[in-house]
Amino acid sequence: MAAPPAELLRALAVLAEPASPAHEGLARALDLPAPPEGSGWADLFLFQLHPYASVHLGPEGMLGGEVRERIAGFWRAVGRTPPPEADHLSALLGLHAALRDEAAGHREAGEEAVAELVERSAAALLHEHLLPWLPPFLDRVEALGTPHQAAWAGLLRATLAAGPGAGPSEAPVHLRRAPELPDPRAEGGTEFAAHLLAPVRTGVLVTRHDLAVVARGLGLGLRAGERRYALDHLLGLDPSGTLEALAELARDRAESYRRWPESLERPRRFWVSRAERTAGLLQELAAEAQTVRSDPEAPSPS
Amino acid sequence: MTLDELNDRVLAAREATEARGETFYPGPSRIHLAAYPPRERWHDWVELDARAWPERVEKRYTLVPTTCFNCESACGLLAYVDQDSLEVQKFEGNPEHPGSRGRNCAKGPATLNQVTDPDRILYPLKRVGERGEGRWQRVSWDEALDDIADRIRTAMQEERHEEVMYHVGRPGEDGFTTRMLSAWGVDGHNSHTNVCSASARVGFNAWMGMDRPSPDHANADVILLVSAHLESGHYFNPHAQRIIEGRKRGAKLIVLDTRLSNTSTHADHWLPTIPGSEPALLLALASWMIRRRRYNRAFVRRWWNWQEYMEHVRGEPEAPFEEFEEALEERYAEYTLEYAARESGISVEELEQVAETVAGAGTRLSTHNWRSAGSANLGGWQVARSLFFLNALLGAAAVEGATYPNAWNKYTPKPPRPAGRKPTRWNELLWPEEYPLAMHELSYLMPHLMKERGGFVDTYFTRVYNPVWTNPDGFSWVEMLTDHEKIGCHVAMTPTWNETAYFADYVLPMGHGSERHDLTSYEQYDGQYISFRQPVLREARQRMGEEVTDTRQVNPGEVWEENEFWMELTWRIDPDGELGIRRFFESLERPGEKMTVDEYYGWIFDHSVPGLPEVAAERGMTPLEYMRSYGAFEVARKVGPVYEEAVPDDELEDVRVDAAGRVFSRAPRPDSPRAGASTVFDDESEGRRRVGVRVEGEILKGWPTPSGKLEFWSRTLAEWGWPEAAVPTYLRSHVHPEELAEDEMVLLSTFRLPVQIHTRSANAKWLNEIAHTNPLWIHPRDAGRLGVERTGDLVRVETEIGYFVVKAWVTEGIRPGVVACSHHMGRWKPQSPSGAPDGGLQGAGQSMATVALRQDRERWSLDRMSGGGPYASSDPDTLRIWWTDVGVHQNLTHAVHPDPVSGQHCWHQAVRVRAAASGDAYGDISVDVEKAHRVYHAWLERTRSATRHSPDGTRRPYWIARPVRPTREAYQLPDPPAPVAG
Repeated sequence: MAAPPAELLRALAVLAEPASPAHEGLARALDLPAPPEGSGWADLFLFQLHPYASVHLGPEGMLGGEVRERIAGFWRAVGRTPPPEADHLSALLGLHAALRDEAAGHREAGEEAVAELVERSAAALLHEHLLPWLPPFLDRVEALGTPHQAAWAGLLRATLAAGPGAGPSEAPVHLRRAPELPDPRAEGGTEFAAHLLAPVRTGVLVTRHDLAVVARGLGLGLRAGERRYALDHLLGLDPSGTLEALAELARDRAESYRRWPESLERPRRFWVSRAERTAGLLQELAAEAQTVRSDPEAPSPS
Repeated sequence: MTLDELNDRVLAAREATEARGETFYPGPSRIHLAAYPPRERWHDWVELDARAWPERVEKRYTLVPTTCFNCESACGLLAYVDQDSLEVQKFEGNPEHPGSRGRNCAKGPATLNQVTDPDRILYPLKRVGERGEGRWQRVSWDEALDDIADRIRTAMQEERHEEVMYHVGRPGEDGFTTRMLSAWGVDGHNSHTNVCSASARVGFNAWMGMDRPSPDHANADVILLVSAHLESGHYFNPHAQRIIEGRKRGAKLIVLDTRLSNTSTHADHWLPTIPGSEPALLLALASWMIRRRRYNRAFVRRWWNWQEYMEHVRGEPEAPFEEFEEALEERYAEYTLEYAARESGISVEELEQVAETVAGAGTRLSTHNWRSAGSANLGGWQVARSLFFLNALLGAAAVEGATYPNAWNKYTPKPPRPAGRKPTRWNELLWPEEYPLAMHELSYLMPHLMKERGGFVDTYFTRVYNPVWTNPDGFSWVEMLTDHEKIGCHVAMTPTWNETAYFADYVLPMGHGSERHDLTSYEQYDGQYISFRQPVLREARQRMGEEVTDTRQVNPGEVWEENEFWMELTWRIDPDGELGIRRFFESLERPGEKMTVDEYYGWIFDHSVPGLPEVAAERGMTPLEYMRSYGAFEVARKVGPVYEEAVPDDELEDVRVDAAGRVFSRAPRPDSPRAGASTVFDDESEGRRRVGVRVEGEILKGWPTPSGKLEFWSRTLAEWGWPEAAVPTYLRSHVHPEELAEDEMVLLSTFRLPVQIHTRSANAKWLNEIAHTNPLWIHPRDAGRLGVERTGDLVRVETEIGYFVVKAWVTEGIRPGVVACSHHMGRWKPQSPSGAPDGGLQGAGQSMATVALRQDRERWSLDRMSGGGPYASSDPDTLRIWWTDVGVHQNLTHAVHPDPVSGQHCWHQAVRVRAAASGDAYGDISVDVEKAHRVYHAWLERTRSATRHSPDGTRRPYWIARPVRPTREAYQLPDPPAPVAG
């Protein structure tokens, strides 16, 4: 079974951790540009893109919850104690590398059947808990990160794309059953902004940077605060313009997902489909909001 | 470059780095859990100076490991010593420590506060004027040493060895002092254990022959605690982190605690029992399992001494196991869930769920009791006895996820020059014949025993111990300590001022956790490790090339450490070797010269710690260098069920197996690098020593009990006067509801807040800011009934000997009918003789109230003159103290309650609580010491003395462990009485 090179994954995992002097040596070994200082790491991984599976796969787009529990269960299933942040990218890549090493150990000891089982666990980790969210995440790292981070993301994508092998025929059940972005006209608009910020629902990672771009495009100020607060504010000030801009964002993302390699076919199908649906829904809502603007008596979408 | 080539390049770089003994992936990292500086960089570690921000200023440190001294968990610490100033900048966890694994509670880092405490004792002081007057003069170490040595030498020359006494709080070390006292021939070891954990120890010892539990929480499926281990219990940090691990694995947590502790809030089942009912509840769980045969029948058949029970209790020596099962069911039939519900106040439904959960644990049941209910109630030793009953039923003993005995999860290495001699005289003051089954000294009864039986202690050391404050009935201690007819010379060895030191003749400044040498090992998981405490500045300076030969050279002022102090004192007691004790601290390499701490520990690490020399050599170090560099070493991991191990063939020579299956052999005891076991058995009549027990045809190591098995029935208890309590039994507490008057409530005082620890944390400013007072927990229903309107109202709590006035905290976190008040608070210092308005004598300014002590014949009172507050000192933070309330010293109002079996002080109090009267002021205390003495007598009536009940004319069962064990002959009662049956 083809698989990503373990030590390379481990090194890439370390580079997703807060900056340390050792990162420079690792970057050199991997032919990557020099890593940023601590603030560069914080700008990307604390304020823009959160390297946790739960943020990208959870129905609320937040840390923890069912997704983290599911991943912690995976750790336990492979005989390991889940760390405090079981769904952090570094932890998952490190676990994958550890499983690969374990399989190699069994193979060396002539325990072929056990090695095969552990290899399958490593593959399951990739297909169930990494590939479902990493491709769109890495896209955004490439777009928003420093040269080092962009190159890191490219190398990680290439490494993962090289290895997943055939894998299961379908996307994981949790991905297939992930809730969609509810139509506020049917479901009510109370949580609409929150749902817009849950990537698994929308197919779109809406970062603080994206909101700033939207605000700038609309000539609005971006409120300082959490993303939902800022988005609520934009939707309140200019609902149709904001929805239109977000629809455009979703279309762009769907387009970019289509360029993923064939080996990422299953996640690509999911993310393209979600982003396209989101673009369609937001476009409709934007149009209705435009009507509302001219008819103040009509109900608001948010 | 291809991905595989990149992979190979990283792999090669990693292998090359690790081949140099360095860490490739940095910390903190999720990849290798390296949240600490890689250890190969400890000698030269660079960090940015936070205070220089936003400038990037590098600070260079040398990181020196040591062991925390603030509680008996003895967690690993790492001191960050600034290479420029040679001061400790901070303490963090030592990731190399197998018990604490780099994690600490608040008390560890707060060692820095203790080291820099502006009120600490820096020089040896000698009393001027009367004891307790508060006037001191600075003296040299030489003067103090010579004076103390003269007294001890004279006592020894006059065969008054028992008049030398060493009274210790938490020892925080293994073997050094007990070896020294044995070498001195002094039966004067006096521990605090009978106000602490003695009760649980007796309960566990009755089952296992080992007195402490070592629960494997991390691998348990069910964790059952009669304690508050997630916040404050014994070994709480090492255990709490493993309980959390167990919980993450899905383990269920069951907590018995009358109070809504932080631990209870994490429980799947919180059982707020009526105080004292815990054994009834535990026995009901056992009975439920027995009735349903939901226990490990194979284990019980194999490892219980059920045949002995059937023979001696039922008179059926040949009974098959099935008959024992019926007898067992019959014996516990009365302990129904309904009965337990009535006693404990917990519903039958809840108990049924708990029983199902416990029974479902199989062998993965970890349990723990240390103090809590065990140390609080008459008969409290049956809490541990009943708790381990559940483990014994399930076979959850010394297997993964179960409870191990301490001795198998602890490693005490053999020291150089073992004492090889024992005291020949029995200390009646510490081991009175009324308590033959007590495993530890009846230390807290000293004032009463001396009052009516005479007795004189010529030289009395209190060592990091504060009996006036910690023990019940502290005013009786003040009376004893100020009486020159009782105490000849009181030497208080302490890093910080305390209530007992005020009444001393000498106050000797001793080091904190980073200022002293000690060696520790504790049962905290299924493994064995040693941990080294060291003066970190001594090691730091030595790394810089300086030679340090005495810890005083690096400690603040003239603060010393105990190891060097005792070595020096021993030499001054016996300057020419005539007394035969100097030789125990004589250099092995340089005969005729004093042993050094380097030599003492170097020898231990070279000769008595398997695996350490090899590991050290791999790093190009001596074992001592290794321990000074890393601080800890794991000797063994996954020890497993030692009792199932076969006795090696070379230990089986001319074997005899007695009727009970115990195996005796003429083979000599193999040499071992470990210190000798504390539980010992006499050889059989023909001189063979016991090596094991025969079980189903195999000769196995078994358990260190008289039977060699787990003792469901204790022959020792039965033969020494307690046949009705020889199996796990519910003994009604002295605060059982039927013992209380209508207007009485139970005062629960056996808990503490996790950031304070008895006397030692007195002036740790970070800790004091977090916790500095101890209000009385009272349920709203009780508060309403008593006219206590709101939190903060003053209440008077009346005990059987006096009262204290404290603030109420109205909370639903306590059972109605019970009030609770934390210990570890209510520190005080006497007002200075001049009555100066700025307060009292020397003391811990952050946490001590200034008080006036008054005596009117048998009545003592303590009036609070002022609380805490800001004051000027070398630490500007003392001007920022914002709190005034430092709690109330409730223990002064507690009479002694010695359990007649364990000797443990039973802490629960029957009290009357009322709204404070108009003249009452916060912190007021009033006590009648004559009443206290009468209460002592009332409890003494409960005892069954060795004189009346010893089956063999000795003072106590020889097999039971005893600190500083005297000679076999010393065990004989003066006039052996005729054995009394039953």
